[in-house]
Amino acid sequence: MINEKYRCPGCGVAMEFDPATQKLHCEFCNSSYTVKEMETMQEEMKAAMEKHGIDYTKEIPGFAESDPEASGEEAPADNASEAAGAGSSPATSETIQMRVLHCNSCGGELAVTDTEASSFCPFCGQATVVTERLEGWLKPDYIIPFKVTKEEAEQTIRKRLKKGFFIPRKIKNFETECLRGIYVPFWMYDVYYGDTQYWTYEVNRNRYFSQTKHCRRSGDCTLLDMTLDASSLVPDGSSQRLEPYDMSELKKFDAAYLSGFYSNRHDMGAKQLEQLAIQRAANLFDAYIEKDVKNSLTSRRNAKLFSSDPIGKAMNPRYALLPVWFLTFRTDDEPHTILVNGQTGKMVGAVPYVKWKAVTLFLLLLALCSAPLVLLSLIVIPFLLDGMDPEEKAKLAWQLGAGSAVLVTLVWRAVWKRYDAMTKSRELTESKVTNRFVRERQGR
Amino acid sequence: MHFVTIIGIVAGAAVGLALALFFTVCIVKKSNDIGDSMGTLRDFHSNVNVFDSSNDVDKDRSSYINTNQVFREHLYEAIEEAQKREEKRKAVKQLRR
Repeated sequence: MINEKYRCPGCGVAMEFDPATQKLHCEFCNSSYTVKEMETMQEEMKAAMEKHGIDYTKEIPGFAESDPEASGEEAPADNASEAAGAGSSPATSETIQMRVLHCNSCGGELAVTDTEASSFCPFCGQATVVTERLEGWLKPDYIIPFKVTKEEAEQTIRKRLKKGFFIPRKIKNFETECLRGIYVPFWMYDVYYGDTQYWTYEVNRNRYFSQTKHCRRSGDCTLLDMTLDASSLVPDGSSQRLEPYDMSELKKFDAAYLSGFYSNRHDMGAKQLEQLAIQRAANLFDAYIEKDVKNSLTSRRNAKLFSSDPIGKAMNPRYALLPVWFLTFRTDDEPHTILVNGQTGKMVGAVPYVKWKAVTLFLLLLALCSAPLVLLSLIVIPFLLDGMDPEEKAKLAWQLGAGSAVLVTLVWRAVWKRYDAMTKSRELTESKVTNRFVRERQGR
Repeated sequence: MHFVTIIGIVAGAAVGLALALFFTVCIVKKSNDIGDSMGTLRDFHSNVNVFDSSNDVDKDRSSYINTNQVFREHLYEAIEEAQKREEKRKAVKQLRR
């Protein structure tokens, strides 16, 4: 239901939050008010109505809900079990639970999924906030309002894609399918993580024998405001790449910020994600310790983790809505969804590359890298071989073969790591789940 | 041509090929994979506090610290800190209102 406080005090038209001015803006009479000003006016209005004995709750115009039984709709899955952190089962990939609301401005029907908290009337374009999904245990504690405008988000994506040398032309000149500003639900935790790790490594005792040694690291860390997305419809990989958000700009939640944007309520409870938060802290901690161990050892040979005794606790869960722009487009019937952090403007997405350009570059680099090494072998090795006895020649051959094999293996691992990361990023960008998450909303 | 020279040529070509592949993947990734970084320790205002470090445990037996005790103390401190932070944040918000 749309609340009166998002209506323009001057002309009564629904107002929308403008990221550029950080104010609620009325497109009809061009007036703007801050969220605080609107709240003050709302309080004054309520006081005046109470003084004159008017029931202000009946005066609030907005979206009337259609009768679920009459329309054959199922009631929403908002239940108390979610409050305890159990979370509702999300809509399956085949079925989407929809709920029909009626616009009080034009009477049109507005269909929302069971997790949507704000949307638009597809007929008259009026912004609406489903306030019942933002009350009680569903009420977010914090929000970061959109700072990046719709135009800026699209401009950022176009500019960046145009710069990519290996990006196909049809992607550079993509036609936007839809661009939606969505507040994505997140749980924020403070996570304490500590661990005592024992590592083994090998050092040479003499020419033939090596000795295994042990090293120990004990340490801990407290990670503040770690965010984990609380919507099962947004892949974790995509939401984590949108980081970092500037948490100093967190604001106490006010539904006025949602006006003019889409938003979802969480469908994963705080308890469900606690282990994931600890796991993320563990990954960051382990990476730090691994680097520390490998940098401090004189011999890194076969350095590996032998045992660990971790302790982790996710504390103080807070529910926050964070702004994300989702842009979808299609090439060769393949969906692509590019994300932009609605606060910092960080863009996230991976697109296919032009194969012939990549092959040309590879051949060029192959000529540049291989030719000097081959020439060097042709010129230097015959000189080295002069005066060598057969045993020394065999030793040199072995050293050359083994050395290059080790080097090629190391480089190949680095290549595979990067290629794998790129493939995973592309899978996220081409994910049909994310694409549907954006497209299933009614546009205006 | 001596067999050592042939091995040298093959080794050089193989290393060159691997390096060419590596640079190609790096350049293509830089061009087409945008924003692939995730939040780091610094983004969560954290530094790892290493309070016990030994590169040769068998040699430095005397330096052993009862880490469980330290963890427990630090965990209680962290819980208190988190509670204080949240209370402070709420108080600031209330004052602003």
